[in-house]
Amino acid sequence: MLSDWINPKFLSENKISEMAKEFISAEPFQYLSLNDFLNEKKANELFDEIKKEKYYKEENDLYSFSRTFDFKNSKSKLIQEFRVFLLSDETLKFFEKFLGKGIDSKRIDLHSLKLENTDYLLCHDDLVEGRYFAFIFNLSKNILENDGGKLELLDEEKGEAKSVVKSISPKFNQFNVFKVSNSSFHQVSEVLVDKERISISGWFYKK
Amino acid sequence: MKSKEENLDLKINRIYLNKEVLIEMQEVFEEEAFIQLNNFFENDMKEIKDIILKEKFILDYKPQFHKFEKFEIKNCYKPEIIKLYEFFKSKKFLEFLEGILQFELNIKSINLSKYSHGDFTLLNDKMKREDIIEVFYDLSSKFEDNMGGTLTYLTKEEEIYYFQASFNTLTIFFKPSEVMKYLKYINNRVLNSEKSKDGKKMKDRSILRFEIEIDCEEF
Repeated sequence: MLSDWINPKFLSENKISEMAKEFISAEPFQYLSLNDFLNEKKANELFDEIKKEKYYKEENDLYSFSRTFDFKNSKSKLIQEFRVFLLSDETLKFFEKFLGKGIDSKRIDLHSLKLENTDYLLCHDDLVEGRYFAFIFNLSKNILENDGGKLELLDEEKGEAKSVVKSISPKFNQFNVFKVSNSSFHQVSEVLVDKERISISGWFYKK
Repeated sequence: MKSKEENLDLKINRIYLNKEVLIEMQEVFEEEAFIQLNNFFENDMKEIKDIILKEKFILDYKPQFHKFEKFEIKNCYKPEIIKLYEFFKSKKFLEFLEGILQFELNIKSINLSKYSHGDFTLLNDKMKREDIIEVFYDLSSKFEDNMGGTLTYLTKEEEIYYFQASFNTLTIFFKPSEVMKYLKYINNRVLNSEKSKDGKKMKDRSILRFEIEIDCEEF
């Protein structure tokens, strides 16, 4: 059941229609940022569960963060249930109503990212063949406005990222989703304090 | 203590002008394709650094490629900075490099850049793919590796070299065409990391670097 996981306020036809309009007209590219998206109990359970997962530090020119392996191999019952839920017919139909049709029900990338003090993710577009929508379930519990870790969306000029035009502070139980394209330039600003910006993120693929 | 006028006459550390040391430098470069010369100038470079830091730099931000500040020499009237630029363009400096590299060289470009908190350069497909000699002269305070700012050279397979900024140090590196480089994002550990002269006020650290590109078709 959708309402087992998703906050019922997002399930009415009126709300879905509103989200569809907001998504399609968003600037600098199609995105949505929805607070309190999951049922609070589920969000808290997921938070507790991902804290038990093993994270691996990764660093290169583009980013510095810690990441889990893909959750398809997670031993957590709850995480597996969440993965099955995301790929269920009912859930995909719900997402397709406001994001767009054609999400592949057989393929999803799902993992957790953790950014700690000094971690960052510089500008990129996420574009890899088949990727349709990028999503982030934010589960950071105590990040404040000035602590960094913001999801920043950039506009483009002549095919190149230009400047940050939208900045989204991470909040617990916030769902961010955007359509992947050659202009979906985004980045995560450096975490500036001794706190964890933690999320479950991944990509839906196109059929 | 040197007078202001004396400090304008830039002098390479006499150690590096010694013939035996020159042979050692030639051998190091031949073997490593890389050499770093600490305490490069004998002058009071701290004073020159402070003069440069008071000048206006221009932000160069291309989110997919780089973020740093660059200095426009054409708008500069400070004799200390002009002298430093002229030195790096001079026959004397070129002959010094030729002595180590044992080839005729041709300077292509000289830039003065400043990399501070939040600055970076990224690997990208638009990078120049040519054999080149890169020479860096750093006026930066020592950076710790965990602050970012390391300049890393790598091929598709592996990292081959990286170095960190160090005050009054000249670095010479032969960069083959297949080698790329990036400057690691400078994080918030550089903030308030340096004491000012009076020991009270804290200053933010930045990399202040002359970047000199040298043609090496015959290298």
